[in-house]
Amino acid sequence: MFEARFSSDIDRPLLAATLILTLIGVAFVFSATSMASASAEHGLYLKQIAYLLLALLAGGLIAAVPYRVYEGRTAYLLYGVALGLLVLTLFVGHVGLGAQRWLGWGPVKIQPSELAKVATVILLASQLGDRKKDLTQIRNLVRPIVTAGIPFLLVLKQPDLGTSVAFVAMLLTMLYWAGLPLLYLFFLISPIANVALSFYTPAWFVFLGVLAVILYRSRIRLLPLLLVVGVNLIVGIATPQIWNHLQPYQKQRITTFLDPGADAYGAGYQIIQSKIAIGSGQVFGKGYLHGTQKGLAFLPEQHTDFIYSVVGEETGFVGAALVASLYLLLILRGIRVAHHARNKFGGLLAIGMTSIFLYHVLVNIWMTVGLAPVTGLPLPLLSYGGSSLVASFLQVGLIQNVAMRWRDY
Amino acid sequence: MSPLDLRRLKLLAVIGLLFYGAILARLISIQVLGHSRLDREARGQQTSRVILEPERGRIFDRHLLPLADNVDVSQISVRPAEVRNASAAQRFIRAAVGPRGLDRLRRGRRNAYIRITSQVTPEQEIAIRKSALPAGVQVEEVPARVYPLDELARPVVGVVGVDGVGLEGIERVFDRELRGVGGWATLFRDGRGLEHQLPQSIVKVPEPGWSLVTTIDRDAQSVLVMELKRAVARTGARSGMAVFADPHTGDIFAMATVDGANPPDGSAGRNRVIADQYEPGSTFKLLVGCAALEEHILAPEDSFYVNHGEADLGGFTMHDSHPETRWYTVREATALSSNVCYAQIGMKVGASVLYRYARLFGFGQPTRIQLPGETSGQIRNPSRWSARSLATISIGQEVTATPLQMLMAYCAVANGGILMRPRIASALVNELGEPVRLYPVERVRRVISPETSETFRSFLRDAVTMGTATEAALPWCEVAGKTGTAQKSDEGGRGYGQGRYVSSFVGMAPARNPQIVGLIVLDEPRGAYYGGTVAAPVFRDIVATWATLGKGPVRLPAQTLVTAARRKEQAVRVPDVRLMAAEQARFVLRSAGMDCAVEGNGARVAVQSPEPGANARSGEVVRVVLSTDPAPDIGFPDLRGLSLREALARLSALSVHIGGVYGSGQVVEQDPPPGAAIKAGQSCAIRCAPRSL
Repeated sequence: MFEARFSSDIDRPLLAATLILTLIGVAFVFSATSMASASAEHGLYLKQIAYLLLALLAGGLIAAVPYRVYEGRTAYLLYGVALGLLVLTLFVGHVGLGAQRWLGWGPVKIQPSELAKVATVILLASQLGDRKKDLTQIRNLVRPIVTAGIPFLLVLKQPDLGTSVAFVAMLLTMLYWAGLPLLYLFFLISPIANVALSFYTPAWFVFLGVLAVILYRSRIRLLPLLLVVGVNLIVGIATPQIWNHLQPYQKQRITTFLDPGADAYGAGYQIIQSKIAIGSGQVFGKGYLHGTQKGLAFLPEQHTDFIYSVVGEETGFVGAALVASLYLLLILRGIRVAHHARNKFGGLLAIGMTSIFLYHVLVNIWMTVGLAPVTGLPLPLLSYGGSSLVASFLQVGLIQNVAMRWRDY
Repeated sequence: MSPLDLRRLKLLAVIGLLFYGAILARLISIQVLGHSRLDREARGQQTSRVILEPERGRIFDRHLLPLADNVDVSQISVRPAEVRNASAAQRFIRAAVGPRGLDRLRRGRRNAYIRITSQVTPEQEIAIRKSALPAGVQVEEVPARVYPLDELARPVVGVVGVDGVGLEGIERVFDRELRGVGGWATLFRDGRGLEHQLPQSIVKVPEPGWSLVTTIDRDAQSVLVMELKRAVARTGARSGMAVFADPHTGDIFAMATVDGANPPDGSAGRNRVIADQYEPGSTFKLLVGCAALEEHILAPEDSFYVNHGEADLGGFTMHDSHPETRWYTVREATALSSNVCYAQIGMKVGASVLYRYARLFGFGQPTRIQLPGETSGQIRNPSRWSARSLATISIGQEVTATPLQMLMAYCAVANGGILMRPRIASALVNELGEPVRLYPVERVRRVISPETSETFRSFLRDAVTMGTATEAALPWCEVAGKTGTAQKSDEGGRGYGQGRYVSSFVGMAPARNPQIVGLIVLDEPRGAYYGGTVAAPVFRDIVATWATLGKGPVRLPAQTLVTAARRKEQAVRVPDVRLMAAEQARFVLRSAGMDCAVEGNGARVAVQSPEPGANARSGEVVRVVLSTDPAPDIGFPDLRGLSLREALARLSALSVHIGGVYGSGQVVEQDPPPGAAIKAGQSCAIRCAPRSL
């Protein structure tokens, strides 16, 4: 399956960045769980290495099969399986951190939402890969929106706000890549902006005004125009009602982001602790295994969601910037692979996978440095966790799949 | 490749770069620019500082017996937040402390920590140890200062206030040296609020205070106070003062002030030996006599004629207390304390020489003893003397002196003519007992020649053998001395009222080679008031009893031991040895002439029988029961079940190094095990586990 012709076209920088980040991840899972106060977590790095082997196998397999196989029926099949697991999770899932996210058989536990992201990207790429469809036609947008919308709602129901928004992010990126003009993208996003602004009435009116002007000047057809206006009005009016139906912890996360200091020992505590840990690392860090904030368990979830804080504390600015740069490399290479893809499906596949990385890395690192709210998203490749690692390698494997076969078709 | 595709590529790449740029900018702002604040914050929340109080230095007597020592006492306290069963806690406190404790509990209800009492009697302590403590109530060991001689030495040794600062006496003067240097430890606090002592914890070990070795002799001090108390009670004096010193070094052996039923002004516990001045009366004649001999104005056998015990001294008449018509030599005038003769001697010496000698002997100036609150007494300049001043000053009126000044003047005569600076502290030693500062013997100046001093000493010997001070004589030791009976001046006015006297006696023994010099002053004794009758016997009794104890500079000759032992057969009171260590209790009881039977094994005496203050015969066996509280000197305490912090406090109190702390929560295991002997430099490792629910 790995013909020399193909394997020589593997995107080497992407592969290198992936492997280096993964090894850094194992090292810092070890560091984050090495303290005496966390004796229950002592062996986790070994499990992470086991997951890594599994992930390498999965990534290799998915890269080996020519990606065209995933198009069409296979995409629907994978998507169907992923949705089935998600639905199953809602009924028999394990409760963790206030949400039902895991599905388990005995000692094996998986997080179906991680796999659902990969499956959804494949299906979206398959749907949007058809060159004949004009995306400015609303009926051509319905199917992709529904495809991303179902897992979005199922994950939101778990509830896992951060992961569910990933489906929105990948949808928007892939729509753009598939040729949807920015203006239409704006119309699509407008209800979301509407949500944010609907709590502050004057801003909401200004936004509606701007929207009206853009709509008028864009000269779009009547039906989409009415749809955009209608959706915006409904969303703007309904949002405050929905807010009142959000889970308390979800509300708290949002308000905490707006003012982390207000609740220093509650949810804002995590952001403050993370900032203190990273800040106290200074330029060169306190040395591997010598982080004191980490060591004293000030850092919450330090081997999973906040592993970047440990990196920042122990290796300082130098290490933190290096890790961020490796992610940037990974993402830029992903975009490059998408750009050079032989066909539209391949390009969408690569850009969709890249967009998942972009979204996760961005939200997670921004969270740990205090630029974004606490979302509970892992940092791909670095954070402890089998599902996340396997999913990340599936993503990288698919990108490499596209990269290897750019001469094909 | 279409231009549209390229535009998309660029836009997405730019978005990625922008997000990356935001991360870098943020990292720079918090790691490179803002790190010092965040680093401080990190340290601030990670560490908490625990002040480690240094152990206050001890105060020893000249034989290194403690005059001030440190023991741990139990303190009952309540943390209201941890109380689960309020009525159980109340029941416990009522049973242990009584209604007073409940009062405290009620008043402190809103506080995080209420100290119920730090004065747990041994009986209470036993009751507490027997019953389980209700949640929220705790019995802590807190350090306390104890004074084995208690009020017997209080004016000299002083006392420490609740804040640990010396308030009076030696405790105040040497406070800085005794106090030591406080230390602290940083404990690392983790995100769950548990405290750990980590290898990187900074610990500044407190430096214990230096201990002070004084010149006080504990036996002499006890004897002095007891005898002085008896004298004050017997004579009805308002106050009694006594001080004994080594004439060769100026070392103070003992110093006491005993106030009677109607004490003069001034706070109770005032060290009147240095803080009060009195008109010395005839004891001041020493100075006039020495001046006359030293300046060769008179020879010992020069004579004065006294007619009916009075003399007209140019406008006023001087009286002797025992009027006689006879010739007096200077020797006889001194031994018999003739005022008429001494007024004439003084007039021969002259005002300026007399004044010069008064200053030479140290009158009118502080002695610079290392104790607080010394006054200097007063002797006016001759230019301000009246016509009769020379005569009255010659017999020790119209001048004031502190008892200590008078004692030092006599020491000069006793040691061959040198005025010494009184010394109460001889050395500061560190916790290993090595001297860190010495206070050497200080000679102030030579006052008179050895010949003059020897001559005058022979006058003083005559006073005891055939003069006014025969009551001071001891059958087994030659004593020399001088009585003083000063009329007290009217309060607030000139002249001398009737019937109010200061009676005193300064003695030295053995007379030919004095090893001790002592002064007894009784303020306003009722009835008999002559110094020879009232004060001289006190000196004799003190010297005799002290010699009986056999450790002073003056020892009883062997054959008199039997009689002395018989003297001790009087009823004595059982001293309070509760809370003392077994050895200490045994020593205190032995020095009180009793025997000691120890029961149980524990750190401190909990119960004694007979009770403190009960009358007992000497040689009686006092039964003491030691508390069951595990004692530090038995070995390692049982730390299991304690919080980490408590365990660390216990270990640091034993000066045991913390060999390592594993885990967090409650101590579940310790190495070495409880009861193992503690060696110097020993370390102890403890393992903790979360408190089981």
